[in-house]
Amino acid sequence: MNGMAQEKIIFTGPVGAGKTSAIAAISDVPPVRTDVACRGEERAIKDTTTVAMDYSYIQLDDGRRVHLYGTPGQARFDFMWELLTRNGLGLVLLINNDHPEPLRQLDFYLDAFADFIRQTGVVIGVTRMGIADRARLDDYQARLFERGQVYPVFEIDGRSGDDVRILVQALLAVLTI
Amino acid sequence: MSNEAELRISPVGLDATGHKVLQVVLALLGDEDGIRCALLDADDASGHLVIVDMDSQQGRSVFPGLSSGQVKLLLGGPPASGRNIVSLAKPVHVNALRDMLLKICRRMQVQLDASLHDLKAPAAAPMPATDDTAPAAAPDLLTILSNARREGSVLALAIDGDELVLVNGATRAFAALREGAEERLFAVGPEQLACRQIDEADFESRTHGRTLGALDNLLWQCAVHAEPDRLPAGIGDETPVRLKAWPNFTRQGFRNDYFRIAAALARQPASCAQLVETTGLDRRSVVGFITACNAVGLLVALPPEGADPEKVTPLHKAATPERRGLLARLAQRLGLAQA
Amino acid sequence: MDVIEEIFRDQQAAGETAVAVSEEGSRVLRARLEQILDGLREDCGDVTGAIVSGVDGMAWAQRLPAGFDQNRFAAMSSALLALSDNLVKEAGEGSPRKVLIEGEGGNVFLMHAGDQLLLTIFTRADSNLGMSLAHANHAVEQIARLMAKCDD
Repeated sequence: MNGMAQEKIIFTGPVGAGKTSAIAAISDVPPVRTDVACRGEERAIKDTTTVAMDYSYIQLDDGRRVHLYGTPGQARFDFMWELLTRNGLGLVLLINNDHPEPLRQLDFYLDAFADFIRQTGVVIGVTRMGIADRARLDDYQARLFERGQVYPVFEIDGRSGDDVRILVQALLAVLTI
Repeated sequence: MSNEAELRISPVGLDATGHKVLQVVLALLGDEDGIRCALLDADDASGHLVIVDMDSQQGRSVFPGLSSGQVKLLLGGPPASGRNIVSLAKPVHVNALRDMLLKICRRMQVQLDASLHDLKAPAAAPMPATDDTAPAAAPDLLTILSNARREGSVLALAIDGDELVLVNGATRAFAALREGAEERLFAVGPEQLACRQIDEADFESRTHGRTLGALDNLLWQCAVHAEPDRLPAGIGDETPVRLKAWPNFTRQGFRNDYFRIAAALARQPASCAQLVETTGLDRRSVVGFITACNAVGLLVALPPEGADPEKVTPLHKAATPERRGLLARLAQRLGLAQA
Repeated sequence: MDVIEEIFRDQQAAGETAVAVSEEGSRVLRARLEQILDGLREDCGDVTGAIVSGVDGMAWAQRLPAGFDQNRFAAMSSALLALSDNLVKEAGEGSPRKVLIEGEGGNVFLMHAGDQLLLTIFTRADSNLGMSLAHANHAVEQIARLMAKCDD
């Protein structure tokens, strides 16, 4: 199997949405991380942040692997978004509801990954719900409706394997129908 | 979609390159996004959407005279803002213009098609109140809850005089007065069920200190639990339906068969019969899903031509057969049921 | 060295504890880093540009040719160096020293400069690699010393 035929699912979303944890929750081996200490404003959200990618995989019973890649969250790393999504199977978008404007973040990432989503599919997981109820799941549905997009959206705990599996399950439903 | 009007676009002051970019974008919108627009002549500024090159003499002179109802997309010039005005910096690239037009067209389509308010409005078709053969039968729980949601009424639901659940249709909330109260309601037939109107103050005082749940959650569970074998009134086997938004599956409501039906409907409107065919699921699953979505106001029934695949916007492309095989293995590996 | 004393004086005057947090401190620090980059270019004519960035991909100080977007170069440098670190560590080759990239039209070096910063240097294609690296190492030492003083 050569590198071109690599099958991969990409996890993206803003800083602190739980991309690294979500990958760790369902992968076979602990993810390779490129996280470094945060400074400035990002420091207030978390201590470390991914600068290149998180990587892990799930081995299938026929020996093939589905690779899981996590992107950096900040827009200054958008060159990695393009690199990592190339030939990907689909996108898992995690949005941190404990952000001042989570719906703006939803718009931003859906727009930034619009081409990739058009080619494949997306599922949205809203994390850290309940810590601050700035937006409810209804609000995410309404925003997607406004955008003319019917995408799967779930409230999840990104550290829970069961919750992340639900996201993947919905993504697979979207990709195979 | 039934009332989807063709969007008319006026290009004002665009140079040759601008025209070329616009034509490419409109072709892409038509071919890949399923959005058809009519491009008006260069001097006809009467379109729904007016694209104005603010660096041109013509653009600057026409712009102030445009109606406030027209959507104005300004290319170049100083940043401008105001009602129905958006601007795009130069140089204008195909992708940027396409994304912008896609957003604008969708917004305008949403205005024509249904307002945002409508998303949370009650289902269009009322639930069947009774069975044809038993016109005097008591309404079932799904009917009672749907009516409360639509009319905004406040109710107490009881079995054998024992009040179990309070429902507030106005605030779309409910509270269980006992542990497992919802399940007990789902389990009994309409004849054992009693409901009476209470006032809001009563609801407030009796639910004080209790956890309030979303009425839509209760409705969803009720519809799923009822396992209806008949579609809601107003929706026939061949009636295409459109899904407005992905349902808010509660933790106990995750069902892979529903994911598959929702995914199919997210792709394009379809009828119950078509869904049974495309998903390969049994009819009972599809009827249950349609009933539940209808109960929480997420479905729009369309006239027959609404399901015409030419007219809908596919949100993404279908996977190749090789990928399907891989995805099925992945589902298996993660312990996910795949019908 | 006097610049550092200046920082400490500012800090004491403001009653602050962290150097980089104070706006004035950052300004002075950036000026000092720029001096180091200027010195590097003077000492080594093969260097066409250089940038100091945080390991988190933020630009700190730069002497880049016109038209280079410092924010993108900072982010790409941190991503590339972080990945290289992982590669070297996973291969059991110890701690990473530097990344050298030979381009057709020029070379790029990436190096850690203390715990928090990294230095990216661009040189001409026909440059003397050993010489350029020696100068780069010198600049890294200067930056690391500067940062160590700030952390004290």
